[in-house]
Amino acid sequence: MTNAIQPNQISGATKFKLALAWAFVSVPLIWGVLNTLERASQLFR
Amino acid sequence: MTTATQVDSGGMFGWLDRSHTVAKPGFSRWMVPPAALCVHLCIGQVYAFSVFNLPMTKLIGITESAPGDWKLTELGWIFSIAIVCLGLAAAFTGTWLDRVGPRRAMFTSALLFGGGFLVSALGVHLHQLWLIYLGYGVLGGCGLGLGYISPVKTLITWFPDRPGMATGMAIMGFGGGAMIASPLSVLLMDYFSSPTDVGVAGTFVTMGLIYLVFMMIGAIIVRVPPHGWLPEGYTPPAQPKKMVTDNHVHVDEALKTPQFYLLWGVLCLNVTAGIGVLGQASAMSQEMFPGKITAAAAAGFVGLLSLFNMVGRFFWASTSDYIGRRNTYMIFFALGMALYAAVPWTGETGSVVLFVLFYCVIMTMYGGGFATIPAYLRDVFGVRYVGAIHGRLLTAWSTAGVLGPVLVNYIREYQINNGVPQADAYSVTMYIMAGLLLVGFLLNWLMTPVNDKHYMTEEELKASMEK
Repeated sequence: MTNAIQPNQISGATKFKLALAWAFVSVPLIWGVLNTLERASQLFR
Repeated sequence: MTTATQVDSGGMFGWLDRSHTVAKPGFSRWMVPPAALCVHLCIGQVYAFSVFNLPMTKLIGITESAPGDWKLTELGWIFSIAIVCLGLAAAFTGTWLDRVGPRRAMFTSALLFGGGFLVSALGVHLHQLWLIYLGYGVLGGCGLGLGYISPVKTLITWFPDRPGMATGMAIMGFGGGAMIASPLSVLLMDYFSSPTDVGVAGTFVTMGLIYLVFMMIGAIIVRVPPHGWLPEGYTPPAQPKKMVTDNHVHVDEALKTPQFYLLWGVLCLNVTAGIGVLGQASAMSQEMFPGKITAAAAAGFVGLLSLFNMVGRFFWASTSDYIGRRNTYMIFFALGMALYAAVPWTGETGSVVLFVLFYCVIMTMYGGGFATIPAYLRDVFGVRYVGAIHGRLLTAWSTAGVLGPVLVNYIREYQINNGVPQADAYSVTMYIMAGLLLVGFLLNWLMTPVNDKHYMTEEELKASMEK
């Protein structure tokens, strides 16, 4: 049984929600990773 | 249509019920990992809590500790209480979570974790340490445990084709949470600080509210699949792999199997070794490479380790979908043993690059151990009670959280008291950690499929769905 629409059937609205949801979690994570990399660069100076 | 056991309370909180979280046609399963990440990115903050320790020793003196200010040893208990409560909450709420579904669990976790910060802010404001023990330690710790396990079963059900990757993504968020929380805490403390305030209370209130909202959004967007749902084009293998079962073991029955205790030992030893060396990474790098690694560089080194810890969670859990969970842990223990034992050699040769490289790989396997265990449990005990069984297994983490640092500190102190130079004292620690990994290797090697007598019958399974 495949009630939920699969990636190849995703509607435009769902694509927008997906992009929003992933951006919502990715932005803070990327900010944290960049901060960490900046701190880590001390190791190679 | 029901997915599993339904609890329908209706009323104001009816939207939290499992029946309201069943995905409607048009829902993409790729919405579920961000929902899980909303929770895990927040609760991962616990690994950055130490950033508050020093400022909290100056709440009265502001620029330096004054009489009446709290001591670091007293503050250290906040983290320990939180980790113990994490394990206990995960162990005791797993069955409830299985009954009520992920949304109610994530909602409760948000209230506990966010609320814990608010109670702690009051504790800082009134200078009552017990309020912080209660707030961040007990309430926050329970929120941590519940939040950690709440999306696991949901992810495994949505991604039967890639359970390792799915849970790896969420648990990667737990590793990433500290990387966000650490600079965010520093920024907020700078913002709220004044000549009469170190800014901790304001930071706690702000972070509590941010986490509350962020976790609530995760609770709102999470969905469970309809009963019997499978991804399009996916058919469960007719001939399952040897270590993967199609059957289900009840959570209480799982505790009667040797496999549960073998996996408990596997997780505990992997985490003990990882926590042990993580805690001493900064000091070890500076003492093994004096003049080459400064205090600032050591702080960067610790940051780099947290990054590899996070990446390893996703990498190894995803890899385990292809090579199997047992083989993945075999790599953790075998490669881990070699690297732990080789770290002292990098000090002798003066190779900072190899030292950093070995440590980074070790950290990927430490994180990978956490992220791969839910899929391992799913393989061995089936999907039905995997959330609850995972919760019980996390007591291994709490145990390792105490065992790792105590073991490392005790061994080190014993060595130094017996005249061993500080830099050399690390060598023995690393060899002992390699020994622990050998035991872990043997435990993992002993893993076999669960005896058929432990599996639920069709009737028991049906009854458990209808309760």
